[in-house]
Amino acid sequence: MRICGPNAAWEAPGCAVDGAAFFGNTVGEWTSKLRTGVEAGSGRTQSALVFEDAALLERCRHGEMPAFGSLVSKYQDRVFNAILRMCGNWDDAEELCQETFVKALENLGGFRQASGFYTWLFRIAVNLTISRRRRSGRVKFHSLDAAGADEDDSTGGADALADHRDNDPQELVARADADQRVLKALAELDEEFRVAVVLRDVEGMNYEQIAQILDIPVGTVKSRLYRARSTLQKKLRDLIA
Amino acid sequence: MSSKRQEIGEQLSAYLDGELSEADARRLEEAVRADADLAGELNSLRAVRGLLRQLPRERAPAGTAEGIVARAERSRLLTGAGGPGRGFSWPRRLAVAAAVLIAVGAGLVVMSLTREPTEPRRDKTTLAMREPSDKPAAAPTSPEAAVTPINFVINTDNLAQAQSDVERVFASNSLLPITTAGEDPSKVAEPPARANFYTQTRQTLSQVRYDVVMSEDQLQRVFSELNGIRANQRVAQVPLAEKVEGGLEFARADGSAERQFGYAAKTAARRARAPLKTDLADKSVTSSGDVRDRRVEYSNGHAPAKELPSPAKAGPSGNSIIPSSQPPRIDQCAFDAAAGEKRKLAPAGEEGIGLFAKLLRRASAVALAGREARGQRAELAAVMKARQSTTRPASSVGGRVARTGAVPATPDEMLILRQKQAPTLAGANLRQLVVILNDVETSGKSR
Repeated sequence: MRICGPNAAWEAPGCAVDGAAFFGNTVGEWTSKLRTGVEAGSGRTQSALVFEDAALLERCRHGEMPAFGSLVSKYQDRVFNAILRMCGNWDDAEELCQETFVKALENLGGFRQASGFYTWLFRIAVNLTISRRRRSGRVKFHSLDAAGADEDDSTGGADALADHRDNDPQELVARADADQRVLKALAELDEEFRVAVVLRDVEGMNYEQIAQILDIPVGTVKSRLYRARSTLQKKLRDLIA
Repeated sequence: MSSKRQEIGEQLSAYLDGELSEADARRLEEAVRADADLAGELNSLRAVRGLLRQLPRERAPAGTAEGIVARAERSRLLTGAGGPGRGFSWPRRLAVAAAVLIAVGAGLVVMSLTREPTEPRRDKTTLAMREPSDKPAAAPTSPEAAVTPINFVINTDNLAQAQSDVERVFASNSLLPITTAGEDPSKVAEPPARANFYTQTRQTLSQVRYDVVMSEDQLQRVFSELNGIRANQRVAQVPLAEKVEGGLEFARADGSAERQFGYAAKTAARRARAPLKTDLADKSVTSSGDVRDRRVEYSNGHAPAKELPSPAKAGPSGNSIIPSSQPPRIDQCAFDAAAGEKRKLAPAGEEGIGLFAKLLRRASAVALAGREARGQRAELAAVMKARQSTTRPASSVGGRVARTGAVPATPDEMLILRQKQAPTLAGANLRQLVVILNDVETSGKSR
C-alpha cells in the first residue's frame, strides 16, 4: 500500500470522521483508516471534509479533548512531514509538530472560519518553523537513513511503503541517494524559497493557500517558487539529465 | 537573471502548477513549441518538481497524538486559559485556579520546611582578623564564629602525606570536612562558619589550607597532634615565635617568613600587623605586631607591674602587655596626684599608644564583637572614667591605677569584660585554626 502523493492527499484528504467513535480507537487504527480513505480515493468532497472539521472544531472549543485528539490524528502526518521538509531535522520536526497543535488549540477561539482550518494550521506550523530556525541559526540536515533508524517500525515502514512498487534493490538505493541529494539541496535553499517549494511540491497546496499561509501576494508565491526550482535545478542538474 | 527571463520562467513554473489562466497557458504552450530552450527549461522544472514529489512522506512518530493531547492538557492546566477560546466553563476555570494556588502554596510550604538556615559564609564575624578596611559590623553575630584565627604552618616534602595526616588528626578529633568543590579561590580565606567542620582549599599547587573552627579543648588536642606531624617532617619548619603555654604556637609574621612562605606568611603578617581585636580582653598586641593570648596571664593572677613595661619587654609569660582595658583616650595622661608625676597610662611608648589606638579604632570594625566590642568599649570607658578620677578612694580601680600608675588591667576588670563576652560564644570558647601545608619542594626555595 502506497501513501499517495501530495495532490491526492490534498484532494481527498480523509475518510469518514466520527469524532465520538475516535475516542475508542487507537491512533494506529485511525491512521490506517485515514490511509485507506486516501487510497480508495473516497468520494468525500471538500465540503464534507470542511463539515467534519467544523464539527470537531466546535467540540474542541467546548474543551472536549477527544475531539482535539481526532483533529490531531487527522492532520499530524501531513503537518509533521511538511515541517520535516522545511526544517530538515527529525527531532525539531517532532517538537514543532507538537507545538503547532498545542498552539492551534490555544488559539482556537480566534479561528472562526468555516473552512481553511488546514491552511490556518499550516500557517502556525510554518511560523513556528521559521522562528525556530531563526533561533537556531541554521537548518540541520538530517539524512534519511538516520531519520529512519531513529524511528520505530510504524514509521520506518513508510519508506518501504513508498517504494513498494520498486522491488529492485538497486533502484531503491539509487532513489535513496537521489532523495538524499534533493534533501541536501533543499536545506541549502534560502528559507523563504524552501518553505514555498515544500508547501507546493511536498504538500500540494495551491498558490492561494500558500499566499494565505505565508501572508504574501500570489505573485510573490509564483516568484519564489520559480527561484527555488531554478536553484534546485542547477544543484541537481546531473539527476535531472 | 534578466527580468524578462525571470518572468518567462515564472510563467513556466506557474504553468506546471496549473496556476495560469486558460489564455496565458495557451500562449505559453505556443511559445514553448516554438522555442527549444523554453521547452528544455520547462522539462527541467518538471523534473525538479518530480524529484520533490517523490520524496518519501514521513509519518509522525508513534505517540505523537497522545503526546500532543497530553501537552495540551498540561498547558491548559498550567495557564488555566490555554484551552480553546471560550470553551472553558467557569467552574473549570475556578478549579484550575484553585489547583494552581494549592500547588503554589504547597511549594512554598515545602520550601520553608526544607530550607536550611543560611550559613553566614560571608559572616563578618569570622572575618575578625582580616582587612582593616572591613566595614563596621553589620552582620549578625554568630555564636559559632570563632575569634582570632591561629595559623599553623607545616612545611613538608610530601604534601599528600601531610594532607592525609592532618585530615586524620581532624577526623580523630571529630572535625569533619565540608565540601569545597567549586570554591572561588578569592574567597578561600573565609573560614568555615560552623564549628567542627573544616574546609580544605588548594591555594596553589604546592599549598593547601585547612580552615576549621573548634572548641578550646579540641584545639589543644589538635595542636599537640599537629605538632607531632610537624616534628616528623624532614624539612625545616617555619620559625615560630616564643612558645606560649598551652602549646599554642603562632607563625611569626616577619619578613623572612613572608619571603619564604608566601601566602601563609603574608596572611599571618597581615593579620598580625592589623589585627582586628575581637577579644580585647584576651588578646594583646605588641608593637611588633605579634598577637598574644593573655589568658595565661589571668590564670597566673598577674599583678600589675610597678613600672611601666616597655614595648619590647616581655612579661613573665613571654607576652608583651598592652592591656586591652586601656582607656580609650590614651592620649591623655593620668596624673599621679600623690607623686605629682606625669605618667602615661599606656605602658608602651608612642608606638604602643598609636598601635593600641589603631586597635581600638579597628575594634569597631570587628564583626564578631560587633555589639560586644562596643559593649566592651563602653565597659572600658567606664573603667577609664573610674580610673581617671583621682578622687576615688584607693580601693577603687581608678584609684589603684592612679596610685600605682600601673597599666595592665586587673584580673577583676578583665573578668568583667570576659563575662560580658562569654554569652556571645555560646558558653564555649570557639577557636579558629588555619593549617597551611607548604610543599617546599615545588614551592621553590625562596621568593
